[in-house]
Amino acid sequence: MKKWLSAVVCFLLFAALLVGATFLLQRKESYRKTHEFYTEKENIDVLFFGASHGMNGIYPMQLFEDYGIVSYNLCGPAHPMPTNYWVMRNALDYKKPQTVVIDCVFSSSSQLVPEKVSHMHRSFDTMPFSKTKVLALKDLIPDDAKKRSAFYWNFVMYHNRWEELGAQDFSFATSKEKGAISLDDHVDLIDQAGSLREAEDGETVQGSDAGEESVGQQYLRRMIEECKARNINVVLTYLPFDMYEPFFEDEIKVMEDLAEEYDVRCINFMEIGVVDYRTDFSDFEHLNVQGARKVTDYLGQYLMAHQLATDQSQNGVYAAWKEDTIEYRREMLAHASTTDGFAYLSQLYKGHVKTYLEIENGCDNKLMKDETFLALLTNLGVDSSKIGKGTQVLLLTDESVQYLDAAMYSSEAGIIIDGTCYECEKGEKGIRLVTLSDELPDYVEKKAF
Amino acid sequence: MLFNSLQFLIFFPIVLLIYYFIPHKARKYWLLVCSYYFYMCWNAKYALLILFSTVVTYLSGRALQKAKECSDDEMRLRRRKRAIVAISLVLNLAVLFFFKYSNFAVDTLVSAFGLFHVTLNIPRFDFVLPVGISFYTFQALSYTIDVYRDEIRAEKSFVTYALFVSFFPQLVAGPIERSKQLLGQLHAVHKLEYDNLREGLLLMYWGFFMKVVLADRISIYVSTVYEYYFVYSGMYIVVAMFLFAIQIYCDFAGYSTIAMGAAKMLGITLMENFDAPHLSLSIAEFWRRWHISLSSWFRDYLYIPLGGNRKGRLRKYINIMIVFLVSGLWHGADFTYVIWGGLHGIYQIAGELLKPVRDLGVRLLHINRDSEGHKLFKMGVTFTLVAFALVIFRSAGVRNAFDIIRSMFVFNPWVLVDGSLYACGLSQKSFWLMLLCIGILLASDICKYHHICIRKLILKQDCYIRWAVFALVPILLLVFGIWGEGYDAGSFIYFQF
Repeated sequence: MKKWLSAVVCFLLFAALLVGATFLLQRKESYRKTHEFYTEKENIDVLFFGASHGMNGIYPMQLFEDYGIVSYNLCGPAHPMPTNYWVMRNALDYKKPQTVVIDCVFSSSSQLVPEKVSHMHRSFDTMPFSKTKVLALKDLIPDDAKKRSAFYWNFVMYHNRWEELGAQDFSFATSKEKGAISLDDHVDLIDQAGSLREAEDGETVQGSDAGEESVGQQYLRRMIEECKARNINVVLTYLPFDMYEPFFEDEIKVMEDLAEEYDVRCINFMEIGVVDYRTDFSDFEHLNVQGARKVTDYLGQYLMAHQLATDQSQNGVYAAWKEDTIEYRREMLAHASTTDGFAYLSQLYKGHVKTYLEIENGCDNKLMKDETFLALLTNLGVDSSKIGKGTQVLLLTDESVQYLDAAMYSSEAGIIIDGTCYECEKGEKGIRLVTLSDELPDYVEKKAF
Repeated sequence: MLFNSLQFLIFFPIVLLIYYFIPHKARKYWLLVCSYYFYMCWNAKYALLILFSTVVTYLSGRALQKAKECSDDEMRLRRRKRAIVAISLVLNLAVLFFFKYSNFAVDTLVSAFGLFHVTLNIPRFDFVLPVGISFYTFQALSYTIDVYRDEIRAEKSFVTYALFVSFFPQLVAGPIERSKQLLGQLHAVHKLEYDNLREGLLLMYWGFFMKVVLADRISIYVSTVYEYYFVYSGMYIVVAMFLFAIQIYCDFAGYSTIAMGAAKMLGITLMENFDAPHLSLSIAEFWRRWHISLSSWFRDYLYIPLGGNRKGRLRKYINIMIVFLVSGLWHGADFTYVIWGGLHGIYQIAGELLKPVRDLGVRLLHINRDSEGHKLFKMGVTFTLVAFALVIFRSAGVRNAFDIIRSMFVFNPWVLVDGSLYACGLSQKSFWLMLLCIGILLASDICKYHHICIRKLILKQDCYIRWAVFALVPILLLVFGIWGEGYDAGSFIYFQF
């Protein structure tokens, strides 16, 4: 009996170690992105589904801060519509949203799952085992049980990740971006002639034969029908990205046709010009922080205006979300700190910070002839015609721009704010800035370029 | 079904649980069903070949037994026995030849006639080589010959005999068990014994370590270098040569050890198939330690019947060459295997012929034969000879083998230290893990060489150490093993034989 007891202890120890190893070795992106969705006790009013354009382009925490909308971004990288359908079906097992927003990119695709298996893991790794998950995997990966097994128990996939373990793998920390992934790079999509640049390696989408309804379209239809059956409002979107993609016109047509057929709302961001192609993109397809903030702002206004979401800012049950905003702010500022130059400037837009920006030589600075720089300043509310000669110091906040007296604020050593000199060496292009946050008193960021 | 598959990890516990829950009489039926299921997971139709071999050898055994019991005339009995055993041998070897060697024979004929500018149009057969056919055919034949030699009585129970031929742990890659050793155990009552389970589990752990952590990791490097030998020349190939010797050992010995462990958990003891072969001091010793079940099969059923060393030195050398050439052919239907076998035969004969020269050298240089240094030197030479012969074994063809050997003679020793080896499929960390594991393997083999049983040592430790071993080792195997999604769980190398 003692021997068998020993065997039981041993087995339990093995099981515990296996659970630990499974968590430790798995890539944490999925956990960080979706863990809070599964652990959120309260309902979530708006859910977003789509591909990376949506994942990088819609910020739920901004919606909460600015409009009190409780939402979660469940878009996943390169997710075709069938994958989105099952991610949505699974999400609806956990929450009863007022509105589902579906970004229609890849609606002309014939793919069931993303080309890279790692992209699918982003959504499926933390998805709890359920009947829906089983159905999803059987539908999405019909002929490959071996491949499916890696989604039921991702240790099958990640067991050899021991080679790349880092500090973050030992952390249970989750992102407060509520499913969004912000991109802090910056690329100017407008060329010197003022036209849109053409992407060199645009993603190819395998479409269906002409006249046939694509797999993506069929699943988009199923998503709408599923929501309708559950009395959930649907908004279809087509988020902005590089206009040279060959399939976008077909997909917009699919979106508009289905919106009409099912009497649901749709927003074509390619038409309404919310974003600036000079300043708001991280690459040829994805919005950066500034672009995402603009799109999110538009969506917030739209959802509230059409009563598709509720302002929960005063609802006590969402007190934790208010606490999360501070963490969210810290995360976003930490992201911003890693960037320089124009990429950093683009993140100041609606960043809930105040920035003292010094431009050496004022309007005579060479940068003042750079279209991108001027566009970035315009986004931040700066009227470049008001910038005079000599060194200029501007105070930028979300609400306003103040043109300060440079003699009081600028010194050789740095920028003087409230009697404190924030030392900062001058940059090559004559730009220095100091960013402070009222909400995070310990936050000071000094940049020069 | 591969041992290193999720399928087996589900299959085996179910087999084990039901095996110990059902009455003893039903157990052999259960194991027989499981064994056929195990084989049919790979190819259901080819189970008929095992059945054919089983029926033929079972009936021949019964016929031999009956002949012995009924006949009074010695000469007539001998003739009759010879006829029966000949029928069994011919039928079994015909099946083996047809499925394994027919295309090789056709290709050889066509090539041979081609030398004389004669074109032959013989169609090739389009079928997959049945997994493990050489193993179960040899096992079944050994039974017929043992009955013929009156070493055992013919088995009465067809089910027990069918299980002897198809017992799943050793069905597809050995060890090639002898009827004397296994049939009796299949009749015995096996109680659920805690110690058998523990020992079996430890054996399986070790087997999995050899297969999935070492062999499959080494294979990444070796495959890369052999495939692109024209890029990776010189030291890359020398390293691959030695690593392949370790890989094939770990691959095959790993499989045998898992088989031993699985059988042990069912209460059945299989023979030890490898005994630290790479620590051998000579080629002759190597063959006493490498694939023992096959070497002893050839010794008992081919070398000794050919006259062994009893008919003079020349005949002995001829017999050695015959055994090694046949052994090479047993490993695969290609001239690379035949040359590999032949090379081992030459090693042995040359070793004997050069003995006086070696003795003279030892005397002149005042070398102490018992010194550790001398043993280490002999071990190194033996390992190098074995590894070199395996270059031919591993190559895709004879011409390819010679190209690889030629590529080996490029002077680039710096690749051993400048990190170039990490560009051959294994990352730096994985490469170092491989070296660490080879160190563990070496330590284990040294213990085995000195008759120290690590399993018993572990089982003697206090509960903390035992628990740590039983719970932690499988986790380490899972983490550091090469398996799972994205990995084509490479077939065990010896499956093709």
